Order: sequence, then C-alpha cells, then structure tokens
Amino acid sequence: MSNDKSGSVDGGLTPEAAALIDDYFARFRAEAVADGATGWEDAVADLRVHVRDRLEGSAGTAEDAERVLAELGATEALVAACVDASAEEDSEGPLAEEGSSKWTGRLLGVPYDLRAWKSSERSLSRIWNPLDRRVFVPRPLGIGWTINFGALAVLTHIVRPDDEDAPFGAVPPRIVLATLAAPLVALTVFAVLAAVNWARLPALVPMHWGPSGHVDGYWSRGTSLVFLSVLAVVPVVEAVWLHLRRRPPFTRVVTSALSLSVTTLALAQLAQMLFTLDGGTGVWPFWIGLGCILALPFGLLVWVSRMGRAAERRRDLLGKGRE
Amino acid sequence: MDQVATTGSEAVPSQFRKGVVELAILALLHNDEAYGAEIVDLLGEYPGLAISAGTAYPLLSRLKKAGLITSVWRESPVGPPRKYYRLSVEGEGAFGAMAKAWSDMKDAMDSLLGRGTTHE
Repeated sequence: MSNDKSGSVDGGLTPEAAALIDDYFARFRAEAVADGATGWEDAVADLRVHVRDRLEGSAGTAEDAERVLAELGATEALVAACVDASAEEDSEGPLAEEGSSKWTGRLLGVPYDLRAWKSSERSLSRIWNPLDRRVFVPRPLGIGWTINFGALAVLTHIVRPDDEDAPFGAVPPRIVLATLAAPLVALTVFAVLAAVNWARLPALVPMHWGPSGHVDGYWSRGTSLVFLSVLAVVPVVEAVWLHLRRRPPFTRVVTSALSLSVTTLALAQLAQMLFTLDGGTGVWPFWIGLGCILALPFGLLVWVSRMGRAAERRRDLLGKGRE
Repeated sequence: MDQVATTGSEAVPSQFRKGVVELAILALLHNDEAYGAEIVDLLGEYPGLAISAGTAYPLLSRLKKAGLITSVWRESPVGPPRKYYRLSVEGEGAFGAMAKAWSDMKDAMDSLLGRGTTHE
C-alpha cells in the first residue's frame, strides 16, 4: 500500500480492505476541509504510514483493515485534533509553537505571516493580549512585528494578566460604546483644522520632510487633503460600522483604538503641514503626533480594561455581599 | 517535541512540561483556592515545576476556558482585591482522572527507565 496523499492503494491488501481504507481517508479529507483544519495533508500521509505498519504481517483482509481503522478512531475525532493543533499554532501563548506552517515562519530572523484568512481577527487579538508577555509580536499579516499593548500594560504594572476573565468581556455596554467617542473627537479636530485652514493653503503644500526637518516633498493642496481625509475617515467609519453591527465588545473596543491611532496619524500630518506653512522649522509636531499614535490607543485600551476589571469586582464582591 | 521550554532550570520539552505543570496547578487548587502570584510561588517551591508568571497566566486561562477551574474576585487582607482560582466540579473529576493516569504512567516510566539503566 502506498502512503501518498491521493488515496491510492497498492498490493498486499484485498480490494475490500483497500476500499475501506480509501473511504476512511476520503471522509477524513472531506471533514477536514469542511472544518477548516490546516496541516491535515501531512496528517493523512502519516496516518497512512501508520495503517501500513499496523497491517504488516496480517492477511490484509477487510477485517484487518477495520480493526486498524477502529484503532485510529472516528474521523471526526481525528479532524478535531487537527483543528486543535491549528488553534495551538495560532495562539499567542509563550509555549505555543510558531512557524510550523508553510504560511508562517521567520526570514532572516524576522517573522512573517502570509495567511490572509482570519488576519483581521488575529490583528485584533495581537494588539491587546495581556496573557502574552511579548510586547512585540509577529504581524498578523505581512512581515515584521506589531505592538501588543496588553503586554506593555502588564510590563508597566498597570494591569495584571488575569485582571479580566476575557478581555473587555465584562465591560458595560455604555463604556464599549463610549470608546467610539475617542476617534470621533480626533476626526472632528481634523475636520475643523482642515476646514479652517483650507482657504489659506497654497497650491502646493509640504507633505514629506527629510531627516533634518527640511521639506523634500510637495503635493497639490487637493490631493494632500483628499489623502489625509481618507486616512482619517475610513478607520472611523469602519469602527462606527462595527459598533452599529453590535460586534463583540473586544472587536469594538480594539477597533476604536485602532481607528483612533490612524486618525491621529492623519491629524499629526496635517498639523505638521500647517506648522511648516506658518514658518515653523523642524518636525516636532509630527513626532508628538507619532507619540500620540501609540499613547492614545494604549490609554484607551488600559482604561477599558480597568473598567472591565471593576465590573468583575462589582459582580463578585457585591454579589457575595448580597449572599 | 523539539521545542524546549524557556522557563525553569531544566531543558524539558515544552509540551511535556506544559502537561505536567497543568496537572500540578490542578493539584494545588484541589487542596485550596489560590491567586495567580500565589500559584507561581507555590510551584516555585518545586524546582522541576517552577514557572514564571508569564507562563502561569496563559495556563490558568487555558484551564479556565476548558472549564476545569473557575475564578472569583475576593477582598484581600492587604492591598486591592485578588482574583482567586479554584477547581470546578468538572475540574475535580478531571483532576482525579489525570492523577490516576499520572500514577499509571509514572509506574510505567519508572519501570522503563529502570530497564534502560539496567541495560547500560
């Protein structure tokens, strides 16, 4: 019997036994595909080798094949094991293995992840994960690292890893909704600043600065403002949409924080542009903005986490008091 | 089993170590409830089971998701309230089964390792 992945069989087995084995692995493949398991192709190859080894020395009858397949167990259980293994690879725990998939790994020491599927879910869970002690975690899609604000909060002793049973799970709905106010305020500031200064902008405006702080790139007024407006508005619209769709609290809170970060980036670029047009030298407004890009979402996430912790404490401590 | 644990003083493959430490946590919580830092300290008394807080909390989270332990905030005599962990009813059953399995495996491994030593 061969151990290729196509399911073909060879000598040493009766046709009935070969058909049983092929049918077993066909069901395994179908269920694995349906359940979204990964890495099952290798599992099929390994299991076929196992079946071959177990059948060695037997007559290779249908009864022998049934006995060996019964040892393997139901295909549903095997597929579930594959799905669990996939989840283990996806987890951010310090004991989880990384890079065992051909879609993920390291290139010259730099992590990469080319799995486009579920990248948005991975993105959110990596931005706030107090259980993962790594501050810099592999980007959910692409090459390099991103910041795990949850680890940063634990490292600075602002929160403890187990402050919340599930991140933001106990946060009151009004607090979850209130997180949307932060990016909306940033967007409002951006809009007011752009509207007030639109008339006095020249045809060409500075949009890029060199290391020394001198302008080395100009864009037309319209192009630059359209670009910055899209940068500011799109993330906020997405956050509003997710809140309106009543997505889980974790998704909504992290999306609010992300949209705040990106809108602040647009605001920082606009502020730097106006600063230069007013005769200012240097790029310190932009650097302040970059600091805010990190500090504001960090502060927002920590605040919400503390609200969640407070809600859990009220639930447990006041509940006990009533008992 | 080629990944090696980064915590602890011994280079024990992480999957093996993780399973043992999970059982050790269940054993601790079988006797009494404890909070996170306390669990880390208690395990630290056993050199082979010592883990860092960075390893302990993900394990506690995993056990909680599996329904084997529960947590509850309690007032602390010193400082702010703490989150205490304890075995759930399901966890008590799982602990009994795992302890039995461990005992069986221990006997088997002692026999196997003893045989290896004899062959040497």
